[in-house]
Amino acid sequence: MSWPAQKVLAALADKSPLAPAALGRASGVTGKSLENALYRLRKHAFVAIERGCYRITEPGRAFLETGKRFTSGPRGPQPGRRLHRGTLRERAWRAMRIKVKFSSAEIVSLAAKGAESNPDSNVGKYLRALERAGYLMALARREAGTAPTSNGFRRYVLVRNSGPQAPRWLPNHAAVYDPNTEQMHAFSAPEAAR
Amino acid sequence: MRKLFVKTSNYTRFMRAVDRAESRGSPEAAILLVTGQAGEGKTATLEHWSVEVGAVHLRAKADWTLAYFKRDLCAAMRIDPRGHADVVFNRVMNRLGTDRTPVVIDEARFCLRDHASVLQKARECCDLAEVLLVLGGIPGLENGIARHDEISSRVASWVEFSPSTVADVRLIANELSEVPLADDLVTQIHQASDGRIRLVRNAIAVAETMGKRGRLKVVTAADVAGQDLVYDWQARRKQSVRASLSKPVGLGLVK
Repeated sequence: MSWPAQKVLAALADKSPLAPAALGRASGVTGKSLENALYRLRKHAFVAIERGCYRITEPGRAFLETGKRFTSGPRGPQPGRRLHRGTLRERAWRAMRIKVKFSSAEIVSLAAKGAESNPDSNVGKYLRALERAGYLMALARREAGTAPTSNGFRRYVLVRNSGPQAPRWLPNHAAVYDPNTEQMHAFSAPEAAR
Repeated sequence: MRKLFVKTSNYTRFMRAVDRAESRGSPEAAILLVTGQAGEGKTATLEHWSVEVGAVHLRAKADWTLAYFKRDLCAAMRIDPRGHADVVFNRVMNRLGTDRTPVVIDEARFCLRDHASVLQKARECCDLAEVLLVLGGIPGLENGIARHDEISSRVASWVEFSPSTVADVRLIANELSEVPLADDLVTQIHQASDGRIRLVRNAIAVAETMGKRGRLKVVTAADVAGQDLVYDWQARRKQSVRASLSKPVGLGLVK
């Protein structure tokens, strides 16, 4: 058991009330750690103080009986989806802001680190989502492809450079959320049906 | 052709210079100078590094004034450009100091007009925020900067990009070409392109197309004989590949 508050609570369950020095000896938690543990236990009303001595309360004893651990967290389930930093799309957005006019191949070559499973597909989807949300405009002329039968790469121009944070594509909402402006940009009607 | 940024010897030297600049003794000596001829991969390296570290990347314009620079900088950092110049630059400095993002200015020779007023301002902001200022440009930029003592004394490191070596061309071919290229072809591409990455990539694309069309396992110089791999308008000639070399060169195995 490595949680100081848990040790203190267990010591008080064995013998109560106890003076701080005796409690330190009984629990093995001393000094600032003991002080912090008692503060937190009192905050949860698991421990009460009477004439300088600490005693366990009924809620404290009930808590111990449940077998739960008195830890600093987590305080509940993770409320939302975790945001990942340093993603391919973040780097792709930075590359777009630098280049302003670019092809999907250029963005992949700047943003990919080589460890991604399919950067072409990932960046391609992201570019199309940004285009539908009005961030990018496709240019009429394509960049020549490298494969013999390639149709070439689509070229885009960045028309809404909203800020350093990468807009997030929300496929379920058919929209792009922009953390720079804190606005949602829905895809236009015919495009959304695509 | 794969879409990758290839880390050639120039990139390695650039990263070494960044390390040197970041481990500088005096915090105000925060300028990194990058010079190189067009086509040697200078801009691509700066862009790749900016994307990697999230730097504020600006490309200087021929008509950049202090006000124009301020607008571009604010737009890149999404900072309100309105208000007195002092107030705006304070906002910029605060943001730079908080985010610890380096500033990259490519084509920095355009910052040298009007007694390098733009460069002086950029230096001032980066000095106070103690972040790295990377200046890229063609050779000669160092001379322009040397004329301004207060800027030149703050240069922590200077990287001169050089033409790619045969080993660099080999590395680029291995990483970008989907069909392996033989050593003799790599040497020919290096000679024809004078080590300029832009031309090297074009040549590799042509060689790879030939390899795919012919369903070759390895493309050799003989396979692309007569093909125009490199077009150099200044030389007013197309650089074709000779059928064979007089003696083979050993560069290690193809990928």
